[in-house]
Amino acid sequence: MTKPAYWKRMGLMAAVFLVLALVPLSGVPSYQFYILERGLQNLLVVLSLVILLGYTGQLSLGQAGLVAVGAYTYGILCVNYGLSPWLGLLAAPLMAGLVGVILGFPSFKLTGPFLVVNTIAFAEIVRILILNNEKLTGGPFGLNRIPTIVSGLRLYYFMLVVAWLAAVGTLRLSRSHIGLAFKAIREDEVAAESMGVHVRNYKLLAFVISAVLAGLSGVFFANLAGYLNPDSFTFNESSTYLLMVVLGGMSNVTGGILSSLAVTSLPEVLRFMARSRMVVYSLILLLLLRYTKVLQVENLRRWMRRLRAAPPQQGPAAGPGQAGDVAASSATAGRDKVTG
Amino acid sequence: MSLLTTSRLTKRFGGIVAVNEVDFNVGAGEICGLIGPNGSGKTTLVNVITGIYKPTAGGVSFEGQPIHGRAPHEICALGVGRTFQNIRLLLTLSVFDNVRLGAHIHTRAKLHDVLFQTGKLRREEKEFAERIDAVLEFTGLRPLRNEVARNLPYGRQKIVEIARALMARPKLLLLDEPAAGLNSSEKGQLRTLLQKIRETGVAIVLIEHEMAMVEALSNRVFVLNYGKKISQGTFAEIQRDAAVIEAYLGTGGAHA
Repeated sequence: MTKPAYWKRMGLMAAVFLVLALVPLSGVPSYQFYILERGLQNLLVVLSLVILLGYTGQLSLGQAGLVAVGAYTYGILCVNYGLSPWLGLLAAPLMAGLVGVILGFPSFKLTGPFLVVNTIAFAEIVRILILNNEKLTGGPFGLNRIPTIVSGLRLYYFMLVVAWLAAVGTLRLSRSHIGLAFKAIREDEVAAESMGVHVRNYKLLAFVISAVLAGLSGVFFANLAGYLNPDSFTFNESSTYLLMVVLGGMSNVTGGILSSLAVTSLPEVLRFMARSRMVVYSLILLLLLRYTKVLQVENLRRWMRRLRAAPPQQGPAAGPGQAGDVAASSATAGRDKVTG
Repeated sequence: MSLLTTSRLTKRFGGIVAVNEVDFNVGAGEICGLIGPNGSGKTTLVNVITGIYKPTAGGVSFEGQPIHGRAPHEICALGVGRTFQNIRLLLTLSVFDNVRLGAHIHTRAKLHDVLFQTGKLRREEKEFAERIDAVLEFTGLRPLRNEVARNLPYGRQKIVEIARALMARPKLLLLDEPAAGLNSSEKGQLRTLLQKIRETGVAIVLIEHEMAMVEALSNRVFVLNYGKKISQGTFAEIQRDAAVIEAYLGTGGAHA
């Protein structure tokens, strides 16, 4: 990325955050404001996928599992052990980062669809562990009365500041030699390692950074909802995150910010349609995928090419139909989002 | 002492012996030609030297220390650069960024330097930017600095690979068929570039089917056939070697 391009993106991003900072002044009704807050929380997961998928080319459909680790670490420490929410805020992303290491290991050998299936399995394991460790997590009854870090409007501004820092960090990463190493892994692993990139370490780093951001998002989820239940961290959530990052242009930070806000609020905007709501929602997403320039469809195509070009020794590569289906199913998998 | 030495280097893929007990060496500042018919094991030899493949038997040493069994990124950091027969560029990134990847082994800034944009990072990036521009100037790629690699013609892409390898400041450069697919004026430019690289003191292993180029540039030539080294010497010497003539043209005895 050239210097002018970098500052252009930075400026664009600053403008979006400025608008977000001004929104509460316009007296938005509380439910709509809550949706905006959820959008901010989802934004952190989208940034985590920008780094992991957009830069490094590692497709994860298990981000909800990492969000769950962050949310439950915060919840358990603050509710069961009475820890200060501020310490919980520190501990949760750390815990998620550690779990991110575990999630990262299989990426040494697995690529394309094989890695995707692995991340799905990871998130399921996390969900089932939460569901069955009733003493610790409350199991199906959930975790109640979770304290907030700060309350009300201050929480919104706190989240906004954290999201801003995360977005700036992501953009700085993108421009740096670390971001370049990530992108080299995405483009050609053999070329990357031949040019001195320690591919395993950088893959792990991408997974850990991604997990920390997802864990942070989990903390904010716990703060916003005040209640945790394993049903909030399903495959539906993971695929919606993927949809958000693909719509945003994969490696485009501002695009990711806009699409996470848009996709979070779209089902609520369409609420007046009652029963046909989800059909229209899916249709709009498909049209967005096809036509909007912000969505940078060429990035999606590149990713689909990568899926097709999975190494043959690991079994048959995904055909065009299969790759297309992943995108299509993620486009329709947003039901129950936000309402859950 | 030679810069790179392989001793009885062997690489098997199942029943196929792709490289068979090859003794090969390159001296500092030398251009070594590596030739042989298609499938004779030239690229496999390079892949074993650079750590992409682990050797089945035998050893590789670089500057006197054994390097076989090490990972590619370690071997790169020791000063062995390479290009690929099928171009492996970062196609969606600019020429500048492609060459910048070559500086990766020299970067010292850490993650926190990046997140807080420390002075250390800024100084390093400024220094690298100047060096990248110098390498682009050296290879004649300066006008294409901000082009996306994918949009470049094939011949230019090959030069970008060489520039990327040079950015790492290697002591030895392994070039896998750099002239393949180039038109005659591009071949001329490539020859001039390789001579310029040799003048900077970098040793080169030149895998090539373009015999005029091998003859013009190589101090010594090694010939492989069916994974075995069948000849070595100056170009004039191997040209007269009956084993080399047989490998390229066959014996012709059956029809005589």
